[in-house]
Amino acid sequence: MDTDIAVVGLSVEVPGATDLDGFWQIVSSGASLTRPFPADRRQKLREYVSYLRATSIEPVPDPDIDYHHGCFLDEVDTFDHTVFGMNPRQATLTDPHHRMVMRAMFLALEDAGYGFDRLRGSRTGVFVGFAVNPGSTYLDYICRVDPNNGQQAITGNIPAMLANRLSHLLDLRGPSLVVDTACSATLVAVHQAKNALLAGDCDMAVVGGARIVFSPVKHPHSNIGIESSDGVTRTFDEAADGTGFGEGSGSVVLKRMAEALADGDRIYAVLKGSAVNHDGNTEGITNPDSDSQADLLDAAWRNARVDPRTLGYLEAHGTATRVGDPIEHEGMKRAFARHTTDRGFCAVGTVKANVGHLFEGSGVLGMIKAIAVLRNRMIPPQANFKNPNPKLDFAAGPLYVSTSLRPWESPDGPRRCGVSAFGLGGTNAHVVLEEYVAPPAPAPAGGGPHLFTLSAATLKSLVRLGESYVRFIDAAGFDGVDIADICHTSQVSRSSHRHRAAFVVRDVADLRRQLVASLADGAAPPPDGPLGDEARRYLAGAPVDWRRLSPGPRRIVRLPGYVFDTVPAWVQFPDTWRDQLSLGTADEEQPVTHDTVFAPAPAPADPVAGARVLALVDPDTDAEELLAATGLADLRVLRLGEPVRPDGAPFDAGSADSYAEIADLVGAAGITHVVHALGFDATPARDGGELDRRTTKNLGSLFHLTRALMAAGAKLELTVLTRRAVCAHDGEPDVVVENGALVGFGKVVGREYPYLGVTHLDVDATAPADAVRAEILSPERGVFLLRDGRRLHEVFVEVPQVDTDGPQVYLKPGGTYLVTGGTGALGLAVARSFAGRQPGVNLVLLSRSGLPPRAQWPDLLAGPGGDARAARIRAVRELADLGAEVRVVAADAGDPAALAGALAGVRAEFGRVDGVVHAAGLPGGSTVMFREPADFDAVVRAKLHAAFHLEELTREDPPDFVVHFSSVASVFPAPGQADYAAANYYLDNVARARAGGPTHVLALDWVAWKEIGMAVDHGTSGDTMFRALPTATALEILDAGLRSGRSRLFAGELHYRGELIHLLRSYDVRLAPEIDAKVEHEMQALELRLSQAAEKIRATVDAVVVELEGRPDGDHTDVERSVAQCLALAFGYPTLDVEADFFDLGGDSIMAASVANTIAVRHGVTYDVADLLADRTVAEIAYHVEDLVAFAADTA
Amino acid sequence: MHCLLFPGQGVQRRGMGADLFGRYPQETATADEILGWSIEELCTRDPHRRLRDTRYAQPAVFFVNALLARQLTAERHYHYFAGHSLGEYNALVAAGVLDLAAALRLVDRRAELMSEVTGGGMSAVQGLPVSFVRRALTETGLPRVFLANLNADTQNTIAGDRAELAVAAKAIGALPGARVVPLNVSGPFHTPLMAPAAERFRAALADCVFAAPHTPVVSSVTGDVLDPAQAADLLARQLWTPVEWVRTVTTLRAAGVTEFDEVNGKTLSAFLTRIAER
Repeated sequence: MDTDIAVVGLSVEVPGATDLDGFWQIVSSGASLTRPFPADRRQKLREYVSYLRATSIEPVPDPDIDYHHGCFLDEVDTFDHTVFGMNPRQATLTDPHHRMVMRAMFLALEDAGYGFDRLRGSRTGVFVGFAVNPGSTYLDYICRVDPNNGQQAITGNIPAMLANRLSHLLDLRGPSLVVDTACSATLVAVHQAKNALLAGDCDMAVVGGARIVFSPVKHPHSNIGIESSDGVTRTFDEAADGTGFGEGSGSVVLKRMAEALADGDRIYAVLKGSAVNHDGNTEGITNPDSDSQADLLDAAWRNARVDPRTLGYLEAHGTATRVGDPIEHEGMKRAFARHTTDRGFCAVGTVKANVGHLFEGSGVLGMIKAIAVLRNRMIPPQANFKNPNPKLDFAAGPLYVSTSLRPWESPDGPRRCGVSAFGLGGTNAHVVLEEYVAPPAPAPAGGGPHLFTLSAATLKSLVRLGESYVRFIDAAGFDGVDIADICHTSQVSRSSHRHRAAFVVRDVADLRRQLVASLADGAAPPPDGPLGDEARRYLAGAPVDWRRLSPGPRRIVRLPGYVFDTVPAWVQFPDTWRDQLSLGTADEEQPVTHDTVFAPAPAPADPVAGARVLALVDPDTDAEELLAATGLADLRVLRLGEPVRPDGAPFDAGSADSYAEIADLVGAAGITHVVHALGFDATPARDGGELDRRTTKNLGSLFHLTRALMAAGAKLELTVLTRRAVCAHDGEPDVVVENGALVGFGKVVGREYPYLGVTHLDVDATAPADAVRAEILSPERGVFLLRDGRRLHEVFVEVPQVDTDGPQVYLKPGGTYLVTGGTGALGLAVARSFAGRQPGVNLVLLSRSGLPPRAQWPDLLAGPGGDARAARIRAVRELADLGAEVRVVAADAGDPAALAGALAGVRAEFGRVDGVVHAAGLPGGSTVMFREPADFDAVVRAKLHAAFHLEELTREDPPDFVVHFSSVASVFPAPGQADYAAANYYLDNVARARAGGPTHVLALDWVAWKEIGMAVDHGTSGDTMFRALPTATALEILDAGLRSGRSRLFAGELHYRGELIHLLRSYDVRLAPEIDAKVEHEMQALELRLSQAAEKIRATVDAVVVELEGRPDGDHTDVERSVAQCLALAFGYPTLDVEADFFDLGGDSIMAASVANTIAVRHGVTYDVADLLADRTVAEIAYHVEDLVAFAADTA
Repeated sequence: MHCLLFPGQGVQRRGMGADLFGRYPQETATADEILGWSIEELCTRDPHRRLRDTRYAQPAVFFVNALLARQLTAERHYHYFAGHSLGEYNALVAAGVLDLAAALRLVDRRAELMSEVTGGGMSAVQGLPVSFVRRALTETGLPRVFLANLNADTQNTIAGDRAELAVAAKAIGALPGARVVPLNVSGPFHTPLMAPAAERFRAALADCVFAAPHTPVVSSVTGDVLDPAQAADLLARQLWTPVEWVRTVTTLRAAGVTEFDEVNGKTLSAFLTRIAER
């Protein structure tokens, strides 16, 4: 099989050369391009470097900015975006490397005879060698100017896009990838491309790379260790002390030899073979290895099937370092020594001495130099080479260093050479090239006329391109070239851009004449005849059917390359950064613990007049007696068990139908106030049966009642009346704790449906009836307690310090601790903490699921990661490793029988239960309107019933402590948490009521944990009104709480700086004055920040200059103009058509969000990404925005 | 059982039905003749940007719906048809109650009458049960804003006088979980403000013959199976009474429909997933 690969096109750009001729001029003259960093680029970077130094944590005292010398390009801040279908804004936000690679590959493909039309849909591979290097990147730079740039800049700064953008733009279907092997990257990419061609992955491949040094500031910390002291590269010279930076780009186009010949391609050279290897385990990862390099060369020669004695030139890697050069020389010697003892027959050199080190780009640049050497049949002098490095014994080996330009004779066969590139991390590449001797060109076919086409993306480029052709002709560029081939190449190799010219020509002189004439006087109309018709079609925008125009075999010939119309494409670093820089000050430390207390409240507000009151009562309680005594003027009492409507079914607390009837009654009778007094029980439930009855009668009825009232769209004040259900202070005796759950429920109702105003009124036996009446009729909402004639309300207070005045050791050696929800994330975290604090404890983890049988453990643990069961098994094992005795018991804490069984088992094995952590729980999940009763019940049971039964089951042998895991929802619930808030309020309530008893009962109201738990599972663990709680902090609070005598702590830090802090005031719970003051302060600060940010956006938009097009009369509305400014800000266009589509302008879904936000802020309306993606044009967006503005004005 | 659903105004977009007009040249020519303009040009290119105008949007949506239905009904037997507002005309055509040309004439007249009612608007209210919206409207005390569509459990639209609608939208938007989105229509459709137009429309309906359906249609006016004897009255009332889409779907499900297909987009299918089984 023919494994030869033809190089059919190339491009190269280094300082001072933009094509192969210019490049050869530098190489053949032995020039060295090292110079100081250009002044213009220094100036543009100055503020940025100052900024970096000013903001560095480790201060840089040096006031001067010192740059490396190197082979630098004059400018890297311009680009011609028009050719590449980009908008100015995109181009500006695209890494210069990325732009250079696109440009290099575009030129190489044109050089190979492939314009966009010919490429489209082809199986062409794109292989780029690139690495993100230490030091500043463009992305980092532009994001420091404005972090908002980051999102839009993604596609222009992700390395993969280097290859992918070209494939996307030209619809190329071959492999498209970026190779990163450090300095060998582009040569490894050539090897990959060759293999892809031979494997049939693609029919053509373009390979290349580019390199700039964004900010070559001298700084000892950023040196790699190979830098030359003065930026000059002196490979193989005695004075060599490292490599100088080089900048530029290079690209080659490869095809299988047979197809290149068949297609009439211009073949620069033949890639005979290549090899890639790695140094393996050398002394250090950056140390090169001569044996590996020798093996590499040998492998490449074998792959190329050439005798190394036939090589006349070697393009070495040659970084001019004290370590690297001798090792490379040794490697080459060893490789040759395996085949020949001849001396001094092969010249060695490296282009790095001329143009510096282009790092990832250096491989392909060395290859292009080698191609130039082959084509010119001259061995160039090695630049910067005066005295050979004495460590390199050239005389004893096959190699010599050329000091002058001399002819390369090769009487016995084609000239051959090799190219090396070695990566810093040990990946080496070598390719073997052979000159291509073209058969003599056939006599020109002549016999025109032929159609010559020319096009460019801008008019300016078109004119310059025309001029460039005239110069090319005058420099004898077309001498001896068949005009038919010139015209054929002009048609196929150059893309059909927007601006076009076409000439029907007989010969080169005719072409020159017509070019000059059209440059001077504008294009003449094409002549009559078939080719004139074709010219007209082309000028009208049709693609050229070159297959029809050039029926015979035609050859690709050299034409002048595209002339780019470059414009600035650079984000300016603002010189005002010092004024804008805000060095953040550390946030004031806020308490992580809070509490609620019942504090004296002022007298209730004045009663509303004309109230019509409906009270629901349980005749087994004193509720009706109390209500009757209030003297409410218009009071109806509905008793459980009596019909709601005449002759209807009796009022059944558990029946939804009863509440539908009540809702009807409320509507029909114009009820304004409902008193839910069903939970007026005088004494707490004594057993599980009574608890079940109570929760159905009281909490269940409140659920059904509010649901029915919501479904009916009722509007009224609802008072939930209970009797000593809320524990007013620690250790209050005889609290009917289970009815406290109604408080939590009531807090949620108004948040879901504001037309039900809920007041919870909890009274003691001494409550005066007229005080109760005043509360029922008061428009105030919230939780109010009447105790000994005093009115109390709920106040949220800070607990800056948890006094650890309780038992300091709460875990006994050998003690037994039960954790409900024990295999959940929080339960396991607690267990781990206990096991760590007191090795040797017995940990009983109770959970509904338990653990899988032990026999399944090995399989589960060996299975794919992420299996929750495996994670639990690992966690349990970890506890055992900490020295704990662990039992996992499968039991539903909400199921009394299962719980009793579990406890009996624990006692049988361990005796006493010394402590309990009740961490079991199910999240709430739906608003009351859409909550299924069974789901409501399950949420309540897991917390409330479980806590009740734990207490019952340990009454005879009370543990040292019980910790109830309660929730923020008990104080600040969200919509959808009615059941959850009810259950958690119960836990808080019971903990307070048990204070001073034999067991230390502690309720902890957790805010969302940051790393683990229910909130993480549901994706709600971000900072809200509260900062999410890190696990370590949470466990510290647990520890402190257990060492204190407290009955309850609210565990969470207020997120004063957050945008949601204002919500804190929307709750009926009162805020302590210190909290309220901070909230007020931060809300004002936030408002200021938001208005400043909006003002900045508006000012930025208003400063955009853009011309609107698309209406013949220029009749554009103000909103169209301001919308155009928003789009121009995003895309950078100086002109915009009112009908231009967002996506055609270069928009994508990523940037749509920020553009929509700009539009919204600029016009003061709500306008989001979905609106933008639907509207898409200036005209449609403006139409929509005008509508929204009018809508907002109507509302105001 | 299978039911085919037809959406109404609002689903129009440039390019809709582009590949259909060529396939139904006879129908397309008839439509052009009835309408007096090219339906294909409107739907595919919309050079005068009329597609969002009620006057043109309704015939366009109706006609494209009808052509799409031709294809679907040829492939499968449907046990029920139902349409949302304008889509109800498609349901009647599919069920054989009206022929395509007669229905298009009615739709053309309907569009004309509806587009003449201006100064109103509609807004979608998302995230709230209908009882919440009703209560909120009552609380605003605004006489000329009404519930207009009951599309799904927590998706409704309100409509009415433009200025009052804006006030109502702000009040409702402040409710927890609510999102109010203005809709791109010119009139207070499906509210009593349309009653005068409905009365004028009755004249056009009086000329129509409604045949017995070969397949039952569930009406979006009542949510019940349509009686052809009542069709003219229902179609007039449809202009000023709310679209009872939740009831329509509930009725269809209760009748045993388990599979719903939809022409011209997925608007109604999206509603279906938000209507709980009852």
